[in-house]
Amino acid sequence: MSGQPRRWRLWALRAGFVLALGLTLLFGVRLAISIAFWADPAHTDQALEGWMPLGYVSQSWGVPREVLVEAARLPEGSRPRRTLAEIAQARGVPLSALLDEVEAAITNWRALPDE
Amino acid sequence: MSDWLLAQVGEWGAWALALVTFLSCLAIPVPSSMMMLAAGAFVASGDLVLIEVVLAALGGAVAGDQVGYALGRVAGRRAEGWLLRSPTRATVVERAKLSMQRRGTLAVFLTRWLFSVLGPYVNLLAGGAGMGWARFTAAGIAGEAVWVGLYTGIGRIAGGQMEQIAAALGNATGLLASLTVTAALGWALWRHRARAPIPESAPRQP
Repeated sequence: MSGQPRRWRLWALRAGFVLALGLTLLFGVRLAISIAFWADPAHTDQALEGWMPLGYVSQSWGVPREVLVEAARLPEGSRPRRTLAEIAQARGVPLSALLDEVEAAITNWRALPDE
Repeated sequence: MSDWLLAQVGEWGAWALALVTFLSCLAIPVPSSMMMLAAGAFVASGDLVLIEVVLAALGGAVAGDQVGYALGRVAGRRAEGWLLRSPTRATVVERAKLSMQRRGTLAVFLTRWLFSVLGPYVNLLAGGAGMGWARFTAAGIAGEAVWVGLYTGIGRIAGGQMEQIAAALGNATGLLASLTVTAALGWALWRHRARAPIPESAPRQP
């Protein structure tokens, strides 16, 4: 039966094609959702993590850098590009405590009336 | 692991980037694209200098490609005797060399940024199949420049919303990959039909 292996190959190709097509649609939908999520202004702030330098936090949360420097109580003469983890370590405080401080300072700053 | 790597970019800046792009060109699974996104975002936030980032990432990547190519060359030479002894293997080698001649430059270029997961293996193949060093290096640098520029640029635009952009990019890459496979399989199906139509309703042999 010379037709059999051919038929099997055809079905395998078809199955593979359908699977790949399904994946394509899946990724397309996921991409659309992630773009919509990104564009939503309510989601602009990225959750604070230790690897973030202060400048990055400033950019993500829309808060001036000086406010953050003060909030983090950066020691004088520190290298400008300090990550939150480095600052916590230099100050000898746990990272979570520093993150809470910074987030509280941001909330306070945001609550200030516009001058 | 990627959080740790992101921390290294924050602390060591461009050097961390050079190391990571170098490793990624040798098929070591490091999230180099993610880190370039981060570096781009750090450039936008003023934490890193753009020219340093670009030179470091590009330098590391090109160095990694060169090492891959060299490894491929060495392996190719050592295996040459064994490869050419059998006529079937020799034919495969000849065809590989021919493909490299025709589309090798384009393959190298595209696998630097569009199909970057294949990059390291194309390095080995190029070296092994005897692709000219000048062509390989030129296509490599051009492709890596696109890769660095693209991800750093996206990172800069992403600014402080890196996580969201990274998610979108991941899906975009997945989309591209599955789209390519769909197209390839679709084309194979098309050719399969065109060559010899199988009578679907043919009665089975008694």
